[in-house]
Amino acid sequence: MLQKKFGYILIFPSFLVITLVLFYPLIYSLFLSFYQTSVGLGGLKLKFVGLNNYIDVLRSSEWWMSFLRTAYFVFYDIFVGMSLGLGIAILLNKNFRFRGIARTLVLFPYVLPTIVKALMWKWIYNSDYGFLNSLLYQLGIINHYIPWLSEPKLAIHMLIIVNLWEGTPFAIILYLAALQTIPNELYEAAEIDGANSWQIFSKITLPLLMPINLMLIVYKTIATFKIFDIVYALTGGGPGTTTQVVAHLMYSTVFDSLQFGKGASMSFILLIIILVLVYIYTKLFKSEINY
Amino acid sequence: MSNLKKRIFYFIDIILIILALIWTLLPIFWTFITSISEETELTKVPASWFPSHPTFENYWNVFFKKAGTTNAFRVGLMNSFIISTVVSIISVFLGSLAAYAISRLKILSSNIVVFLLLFIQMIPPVILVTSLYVIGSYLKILDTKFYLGLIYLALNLPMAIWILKGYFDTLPKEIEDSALVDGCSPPTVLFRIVIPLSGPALFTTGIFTFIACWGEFLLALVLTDSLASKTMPVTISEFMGRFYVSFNLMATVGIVASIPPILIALAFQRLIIQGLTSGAVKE
Repeated sequence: MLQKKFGYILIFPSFLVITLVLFYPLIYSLFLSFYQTSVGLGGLKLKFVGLNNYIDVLRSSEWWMSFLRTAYFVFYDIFVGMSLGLGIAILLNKNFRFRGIARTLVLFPYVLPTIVKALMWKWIYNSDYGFLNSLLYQLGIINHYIPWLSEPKLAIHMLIIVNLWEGTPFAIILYLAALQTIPNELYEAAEIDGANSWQIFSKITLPLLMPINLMLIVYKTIATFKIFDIVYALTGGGPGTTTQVVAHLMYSTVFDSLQFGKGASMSFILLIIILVLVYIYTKLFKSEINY
Repeated sequence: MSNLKKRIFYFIDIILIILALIWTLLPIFWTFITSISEETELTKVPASWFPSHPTFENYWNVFFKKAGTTNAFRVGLMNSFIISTVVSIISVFLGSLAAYAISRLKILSSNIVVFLLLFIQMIPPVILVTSLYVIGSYLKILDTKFYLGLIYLALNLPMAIWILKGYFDTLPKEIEDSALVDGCSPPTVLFRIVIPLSGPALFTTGIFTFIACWGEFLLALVLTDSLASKTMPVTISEFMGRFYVSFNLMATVGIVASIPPILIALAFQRLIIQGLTSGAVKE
């Protein structure tokens, strides 16, 4: 039919760009992941090694340590980040003056370029002149300056704070939109029945937010497993390897040690893990929502 | 009594909101303060909360001084601006065509589109960067604005299609139907009726693409090398990596790079929020 034909013409340019620029490299990477690659005179040299890259990665403790570290970021993002987002959304959903302005201001961390955010926080964490040391010192909380990013145990938590700061606006906005779709009558009826605010929250608000929770968990898992910019700019994975996340490990495997094939196999392992996680979430939440 | 209780609760809410805003804005505020401080003031221990002699000299330097570092930043800013603008326009155009085909002509089911969108989001950029680097050097288009822009286009198209499809779904179908009955061809309906009616949605999509391209770092870091194609985030990261660079100049660079997205947020807050939540909430 004429309409169908027109439709295919319309979708073709987008399809072409996405296939050429995303799917072709993806398949090329899959191909590379079965090869040992070396860069020498005359360009890339390839040697077929089958599944060896995958086996190497799965057996390396470096990979699993980076993976667990990234999972630690995801854990904070989901539990602390989402609670923070919901809390602030509930506040911003109330009636007060300057509500519109407040809602705009919370957007800022979301729209700023990540590299600028990294720059800001690097300066805040500066061990000699940084704002954080200065503030805590003036408040009498610490009595000597702390090198936030060069103490192994501290550094990762300082990065998690930055990640929470930058990730919360997205959760706030989604929760705000969801809260506005809950009909007011539900709350009024509950109040007449004598429910207290905790009961109203746990029996009405929370269940109705389930679809948004699922969406946020999926989104945050996907986004945080890819975390790179902040780590690269703030600590470069250090001190030692204590803040090395998977994306950073892949980056250095590819661009520092030039092991293209091994780096590619890492990405596919990560891709499969994320797919499995997302699948599990959807299953879990389906039973939750039906209940 | 109950009135008093209400007022106390209102008061607590306001305090909590102020705390939330401080948490959000303090890093930005502190960077701004640094950018208008004099160099000597920054090394005071403990730091001062407000400069005794605020100065905008660094802003002048960033825009007009002929030093190597600031010059690289200016060129990066310009490259970012060109790439982000062109990519936004093209992705709005191509995205609206595809979205129309999906929304009205049912070329692909929504489920497939959502899955594709999620899947593309899932791909770790590092994996793409490896093969894009190899492919780019093979085709000799590495280190060009064209190549980087093309990649940004592909990465942002799925999101653009998704936002626009959500919008087209809400447009009343009757107008288009009657136009078709009157003998308009499908292309005329799309270009004469649907697209002119979709101004705000097209704009929102453009804003999203612009912000995403403006901030993208990893791909630009790997795929650009010369000043002809380096984008603003790359020039900033080089600033940060330098052994010595004055903190206030760096803070100024950060603030300047934040101005476009902040202006966008201030002007189009409602559109951004609508864009982020379209499709997510209306189920």
